[in-house]
Amino acid sequence: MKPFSAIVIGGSAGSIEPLHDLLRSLPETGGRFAVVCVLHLMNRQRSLLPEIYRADCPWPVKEAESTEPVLPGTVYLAPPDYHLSIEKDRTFALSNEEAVMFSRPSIDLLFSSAAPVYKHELAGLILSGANNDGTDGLLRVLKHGGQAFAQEIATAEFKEMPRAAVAASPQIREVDIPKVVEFLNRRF
Amino acid sequence: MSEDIDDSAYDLETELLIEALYQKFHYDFRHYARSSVKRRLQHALSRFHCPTISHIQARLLHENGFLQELIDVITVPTTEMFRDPTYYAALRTEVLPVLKTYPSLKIWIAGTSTGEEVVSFCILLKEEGLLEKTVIYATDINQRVLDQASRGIYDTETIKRATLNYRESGGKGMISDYVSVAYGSARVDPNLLKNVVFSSHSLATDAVFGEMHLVSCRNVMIYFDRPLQNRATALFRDSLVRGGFLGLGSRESMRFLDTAPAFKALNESQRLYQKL
Repeated sequence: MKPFSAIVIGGSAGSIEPLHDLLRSLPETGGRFAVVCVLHLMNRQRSLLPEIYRADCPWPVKEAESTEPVLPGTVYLAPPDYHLSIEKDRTFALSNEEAVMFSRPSIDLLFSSAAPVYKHELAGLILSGANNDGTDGLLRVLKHGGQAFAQEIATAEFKEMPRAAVAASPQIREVDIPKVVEFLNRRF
Repeated sequence: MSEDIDDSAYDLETELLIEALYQKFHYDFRHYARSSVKRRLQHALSRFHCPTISHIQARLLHENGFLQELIDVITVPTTEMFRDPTYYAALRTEVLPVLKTYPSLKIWIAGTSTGEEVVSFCILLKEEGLLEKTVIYATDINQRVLDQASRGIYDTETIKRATLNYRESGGKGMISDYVSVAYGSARVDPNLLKNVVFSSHSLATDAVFGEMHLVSCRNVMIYFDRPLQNRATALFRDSLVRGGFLGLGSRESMRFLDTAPAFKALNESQRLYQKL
């Protein structure tokens, strides 16, 4: 089995905490994959999340910048009010294009751009949220040979987003958040 | 989102279309980030009811007037007045006091789109008493958006959204001082735009056209790859007088660029730089 190169994570309402749990559980050593996250946030100008997560995450946490290479062992967050995507050469691109399903950044857009770049080296994860952004993106991840997960519906504060994902394909599996990290680690 | 697309064929067609746009029409998207171009072409497929990019290419090469329609879809016209109010606040307090010392001013707004940023600049300059001695060069690769910008007509929603931004930017009056609303649309006072020169210009293929005191180019370079970002910022560097200012979008930075040594950060968080 080839190792993962990246996990893309999307969440909306109620996703800040589960993402925090996930980032806390990243291994102190190793870190051979990149973590790229899109959360829908209300604040358009500045997000405090990088600082909040940085305090507890063993890996560096930063907002993704235009043309920046996607490096393993690093956690990237989409900056508020910009779409984030990944180019073929594994660098980030930002964009001001119209919102997709009322969201900018859009989870579908990140996942769809990452899927053909990383193919089977990619995992996608949908967290709590009250809309269904991310489902199409997860399907793209599957189509390109990647793995697709959704936060266990029972533990999600807002269930619509993981529920929509799980309903879309039997290959999209519900997971307990710390288990995702275990799964990713096992692939090394 | 896309349905079943053969990715390798789609990638190849995308490259061919970009090449056709360049060779036949001199629109150069060769150094644009592909993820965005491909999404724009997705929109084009549904807008023009074309099953493949090759169909779009056929229309581009053989159908009069199709070029402009395609350019309208590929270029991204999302902008607003006083976008990122803190940027305008920093211009007002850190840049304009220096510009006031020049007898006359030239400002280049690159990537004007539909003109919201131009209007914002004109309001700012007027309030600081600089508008009369300033010429603003407003450029874009898309002539149609420039025509729209020069008319200065916006929907009332745009103006409503601008009101809060304007206040947060430290605006000294009211937006309504500068626009008149009639029949559901808002018209910018033509006097406000009388020193603006709207002109087609490409950061990818054109050269420097004048000596500037301030260049503002926001959310344009995010669509460029690094070589093109280097080219664009070299144009800005070569246009600016010594001590001239450069303003970028809130997520654009000089940090990774070859041209960085020519500038110092005046206010890094607001993406304001000064030519050394």
